[in-house]
Amino acid sequence: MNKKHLFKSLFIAAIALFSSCNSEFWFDFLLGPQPKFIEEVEFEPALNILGVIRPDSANGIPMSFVLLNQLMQAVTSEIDTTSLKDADIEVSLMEDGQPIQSFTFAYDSTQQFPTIYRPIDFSPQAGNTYSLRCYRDGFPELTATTTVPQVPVIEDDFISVSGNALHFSIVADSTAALYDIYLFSGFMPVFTRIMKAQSGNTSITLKFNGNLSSDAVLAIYAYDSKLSAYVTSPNVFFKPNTYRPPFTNVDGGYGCFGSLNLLVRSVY
Amino acid sequence: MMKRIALLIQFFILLVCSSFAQTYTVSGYVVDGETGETLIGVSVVKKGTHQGVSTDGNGFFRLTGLRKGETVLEFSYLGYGKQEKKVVITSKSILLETLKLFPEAFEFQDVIVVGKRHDMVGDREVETSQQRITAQTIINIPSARGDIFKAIKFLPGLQGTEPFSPLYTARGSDPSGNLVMLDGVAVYNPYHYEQSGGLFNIQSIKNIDVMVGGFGAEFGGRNASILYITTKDGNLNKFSGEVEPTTTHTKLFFEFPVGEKSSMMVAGRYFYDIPGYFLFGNRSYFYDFNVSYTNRINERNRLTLKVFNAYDNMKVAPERMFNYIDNSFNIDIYEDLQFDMGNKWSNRVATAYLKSVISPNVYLHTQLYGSFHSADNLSTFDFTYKPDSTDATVALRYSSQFTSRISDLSAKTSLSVKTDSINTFKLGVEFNSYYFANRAALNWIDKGKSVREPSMLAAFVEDKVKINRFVIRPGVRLSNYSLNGDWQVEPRVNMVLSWPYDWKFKAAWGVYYQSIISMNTQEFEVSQFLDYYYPLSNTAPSKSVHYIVGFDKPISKVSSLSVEAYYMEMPITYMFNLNQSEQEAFSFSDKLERGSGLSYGIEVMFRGDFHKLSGWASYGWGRSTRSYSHIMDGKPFLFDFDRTHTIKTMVSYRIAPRLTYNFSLVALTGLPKTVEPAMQVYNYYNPVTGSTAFYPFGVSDVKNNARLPWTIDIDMGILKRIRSGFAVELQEFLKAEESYYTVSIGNILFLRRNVIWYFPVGTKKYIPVGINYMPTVSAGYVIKF
Repeated sequence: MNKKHLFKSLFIAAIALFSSCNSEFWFDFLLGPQPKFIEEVEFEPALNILGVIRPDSANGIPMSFVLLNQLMQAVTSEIDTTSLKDADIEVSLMEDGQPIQSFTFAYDSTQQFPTIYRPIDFSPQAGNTYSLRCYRDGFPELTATTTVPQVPVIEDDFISVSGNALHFSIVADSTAALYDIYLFSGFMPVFTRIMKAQSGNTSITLKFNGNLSSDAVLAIYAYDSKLSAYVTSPNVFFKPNTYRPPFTNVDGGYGCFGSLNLLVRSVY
Repeated sequence: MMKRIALLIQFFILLVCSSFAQTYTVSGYVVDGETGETLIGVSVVKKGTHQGVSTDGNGFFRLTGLRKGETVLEFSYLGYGKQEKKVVITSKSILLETLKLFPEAFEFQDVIVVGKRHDMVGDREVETSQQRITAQTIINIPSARGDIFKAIKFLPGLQGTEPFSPLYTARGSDPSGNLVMLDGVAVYNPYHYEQSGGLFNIQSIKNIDVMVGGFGAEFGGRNASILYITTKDGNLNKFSGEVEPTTTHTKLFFEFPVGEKSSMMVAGRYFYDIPGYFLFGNRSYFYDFNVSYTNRINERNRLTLKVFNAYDNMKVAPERMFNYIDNSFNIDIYEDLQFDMGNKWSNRVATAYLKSVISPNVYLHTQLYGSFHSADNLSTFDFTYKPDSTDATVALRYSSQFTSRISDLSAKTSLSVKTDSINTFKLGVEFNSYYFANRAALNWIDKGKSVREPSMLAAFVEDKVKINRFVIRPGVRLSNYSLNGDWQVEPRVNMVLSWPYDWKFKAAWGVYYQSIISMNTQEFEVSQFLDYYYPLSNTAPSKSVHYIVGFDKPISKVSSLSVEAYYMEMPITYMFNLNQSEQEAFSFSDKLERGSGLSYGIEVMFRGDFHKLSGWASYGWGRSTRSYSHIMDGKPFLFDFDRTHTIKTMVSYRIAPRLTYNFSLVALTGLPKTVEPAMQVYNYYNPVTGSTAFYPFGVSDVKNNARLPWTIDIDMGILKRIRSGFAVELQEFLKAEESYYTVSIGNILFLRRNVIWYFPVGTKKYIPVGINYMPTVSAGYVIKF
């Protein structure tokens, strides 16, 4: 066997050896080798919510709600449902740290998914603090509080329009942490999200394409610090296998219980 | 009695006088006789003795300890014919006329040269962890495709970070701890997006030195490694060059004389993504070019001007692919998908340096440079899907935009003084004036612009002491960073002891500080491509302390073994806690977290040059950890790019004078990953309509709790010189010297995909996602003038 053939044979044998080190070749639709765990992490069931308290209503129905599901196991041999339709959810108006009035949030059966709980007769006010208690069998009790921010105030109630941009300032407010701002006109709604200025008023510049109609409407949503932290959470990135603790600003569970207030006014 | 005492005294006087008899220095440049390029690492030995040195990084040598009278010096260098030079020393040291060595008809032109034998290493004969890799070696590595950054990952101690990323780590240190220098200029993010490669056209490269830890006081500002790239000055004697069109890029390289004393080099490259354009509608390209002008003013003085420019434009438009998937499977999942990904960045460098031989014992290097970098990276993902059967809405919305502007204006000078046969002093001063401007918008929240303009003043001194077989180089670097105010003292020492039977023991210790760090975004981007440089302010610099011991031993005339153990403490290290919401920490400085780290390991490397077979094989074992108070309450966790075992080999087999096969293997322990035990539903809320959409994300309180499987890559390449056919006719038409084909076959083990992610989806097992689904083939044709 000459050197060329010897070299080729050794090469092929090496390939075969490395290939056979795997017990299987896998393709996307087959489940291949699993990760080798250095540290096993025990899964503990817990509730996961998004609760928003807001003073407005639509067609007489309060806009406040609590959306409820549970933390899911990443791998499981059981079919796991995340919807929980039989939880006890109660929101209480607090004064000096004590509940003075309670409101029951009931499961909204008109909507299959997600699992939403809504109040019947509930009109939260700006500046009020509300506490949440959420309980269901098989899970730790979840509790949280939030204080409804004040209605955003536009400085001097003045909005200037120059070219293709709106300019205005929102008066400093310690109860708000972030603003979602929508401009509705004949064109597609324009949206911007801006963190509240660390000191002083918050200046806003909103650019738009096209012409502003005479009935253009500006809607400013002021979020409290908890809801602000939730909507700006970096957890919204799809890359797997990154260190990302579950988001929570509630106790006994995960998710967010926050509040918002809003100002809707015409531009002109 | 008195007479005997007098004779004894006279004897001792003579003995003392003779031991202090005056010695002299012979110095000079050694160049390639055909091109005029300086040659680094040429062995210069006094004939009949072991007394010798090597040319340094400037191609300059100084041989001291010579006595009056006639001396014959022998010059030898791999691939070149030996030369002897008779020198007559009368009453002073001598600066020789530039000596020329000529390439010989060397049968093994394609041999792999990595880390020459210790007595042929250049001025860095006392470095512990230095590797020198040639441009030809890089061309020979099949999967490197002529790229420096892909090639150096075949060396022990250097590992890539993530797939698709050109960043690398050195012995478990952060990628930002690596300093890349092009002809003495610090280059920021010297990478091209396409092909995850480097900026530098291999045809323009003369020499590449990699120092993986333990480097001397001359270098500062980084605490992990130095990648020092030297480009060619240009052919002083004739016009020569190369043209290389391939399936993915075209390279040009020309060098030529300008007058009698000057030369120029011009190199350029243009990359085009043809498959991406036709398949996905991508419009991505990059180009780079460098120009060099060297004027050999006289035997003592050389002035060089160099300019480098690179630009990347990457635009991904996957709508075509997603539409194809929707149409093929009759689904409409991607109907409401908006995906934008566009990255642009550029690097520009201009430098001028003067090399002066003040006297045979004194060498001065003075340099001015400007290094500019800009980057604009945008990625937006907005996906909404509403299955018909339910009233649920699935959504995924993400946006990031990073912009970076860096300006580095620097002036430095260094003086090398050989005072006697034992001591070589090197001292220098460097001043850097920086401008860093960063802007970021995350999830549509504009965080504004951050501008910092620090400056750095540094001075260093080191003394290489050579006594017989023992060489020690103690040194210290002092630096003052304007945004901190304190002086940092960085003591360093390297030593080498040559033992009988060619054993060479080496050790190093050093303290390293870094005030300009980088933001770690690999958990916040699909793949972190760039270092987002961030100058610290009123914060202690990151710090590492290196301990290195090892030995080198030639096994035979053509093979050698080296073993090196390292221990690196990182008492101060930083990362950005990007897991905080913008509400919790808006500015980047608020997200900065201080922690500590540790890295240790052992590396074994075997190099051989056996007639037609040459190459190297290495094995490394190591462990690297970090600890931060905000992660698992300070419990140490595996570093994101820790690899327990690394096996690398590169072999070149010259079957025939015109045919060479190249083979490479890299086998690495899988990376540590946070494999999520749970998924949390995140809800997007529209306050206008009150509607919600959701997406389940994997979550974990424990970092790096698992490992991916081993990654194994096998590639091969063929290099064939052409002697007949159309290619030869073309060669003759163009009056070229020679031409050859190159073919690289990558990912031979494509059936065994290397896993990069595990998706948790609530099924019985994690879903592995791999890369390299198909083998790759690239072909090129090179014409040499």
